[in-house]
Amino acid sequence: MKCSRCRKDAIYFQRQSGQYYCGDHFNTHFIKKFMRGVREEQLIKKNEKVAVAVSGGKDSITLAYLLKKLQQRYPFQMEAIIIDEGISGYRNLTLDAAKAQLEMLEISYHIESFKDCFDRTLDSFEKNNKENACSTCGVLRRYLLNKKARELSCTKLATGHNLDDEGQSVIMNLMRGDIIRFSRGQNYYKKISDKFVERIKPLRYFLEKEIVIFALNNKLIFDSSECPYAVYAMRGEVRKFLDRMEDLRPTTKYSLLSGYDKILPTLNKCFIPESIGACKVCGEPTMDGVCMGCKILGK
Amino acid sequence: MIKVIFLRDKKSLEIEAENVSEVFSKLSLLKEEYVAIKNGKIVCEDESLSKGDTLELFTVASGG
Ligand code: SF4
Ligand SMILES: [Zn+2]
Ligand SMILES: [Zn+2]
Repeated sequence: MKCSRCRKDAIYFQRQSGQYYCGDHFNTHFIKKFMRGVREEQLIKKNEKVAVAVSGGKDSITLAYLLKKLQQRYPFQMEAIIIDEGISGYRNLTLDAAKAQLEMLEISYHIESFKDCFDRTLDSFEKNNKENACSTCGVLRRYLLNKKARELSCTKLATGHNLDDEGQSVIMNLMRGDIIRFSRGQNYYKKISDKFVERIKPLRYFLEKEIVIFALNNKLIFDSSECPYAVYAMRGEVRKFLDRMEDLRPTTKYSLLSGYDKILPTLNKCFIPESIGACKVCGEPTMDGVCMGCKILGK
Repeated sequence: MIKVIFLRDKKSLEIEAENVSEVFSKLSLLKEEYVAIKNGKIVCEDESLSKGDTLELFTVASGG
């Protein structure tokens, strides 16, 4: 098939819009959508300092690449933070990809490891409890990202979450009955404690498949191995369900997230307190007396 | 015959198919799950296939 805009061969058919895209027009479309999103949501202000969380997978690499492009339009500072959770046979590969691509983009980076910061690797936690790996990993990773971004005096923390990730999280939080997490949204971090660096997700309305095509089309360096703990996570099942629904009815993922975004302000008002306290052990913000990070670390 | 290669699992198989869509349906795969690469080039699902073509499937999901 040919591109809907020129005579070149199409590389992608966007079922949601009925458009065919060649490589060049796909790039233009993707970059435009990114720039428009950042502008309309006012995600990054002029001269702000942004921390970008980079894992070495296609989402965060694409995000770093696009933020670098955004820097050509107006000035802001950017530093990358790479978290090394200590997952043998996996994180070392994605780490190498992250370093290589960031060096090529001339983005400076900081590597923070579980081993150095908590004196333990994720592997050491999860020997007997693989089903729990993702929640331990997530809590400690967010803890470190926030702490490091704050230390670097960044006012935003950008992550590469995509439309698929976001839709899955909406469903998973609801299925777990975790109404607090379900009701948070991104603004939570802005309003609830000044120890939280405000989080932004510039790719949250991009389909995961489109991000893969963008990363391949632009020959970005990323690693596509799968984390050994991923198979134990409920997310995989929810992903399959959403993929099937999208196949039956294109735009399902989009409708799910935009519908959720519409009720989020109300959820926020109903379930989220105005402010929270500090952890008795480490001083990081938390709703309980002791933060999740310290609980996991047995402090 | 078309050679189909699953890039992540490094598994491959041969299949009879006239276009990419047919490969997906014969193997019960969803379009959301893979990016199709024909003879080194990213292609749409309605791309036609002919004898001797190689179709690589790039897994979309990245657990991590
Ligand atoms: S799959 Fe789970 S354990 Fe692996 S990196 Fe992602 S959150 Fe961490
Ligand atoms: Zn074109
Ligand atoms: Zn704590």
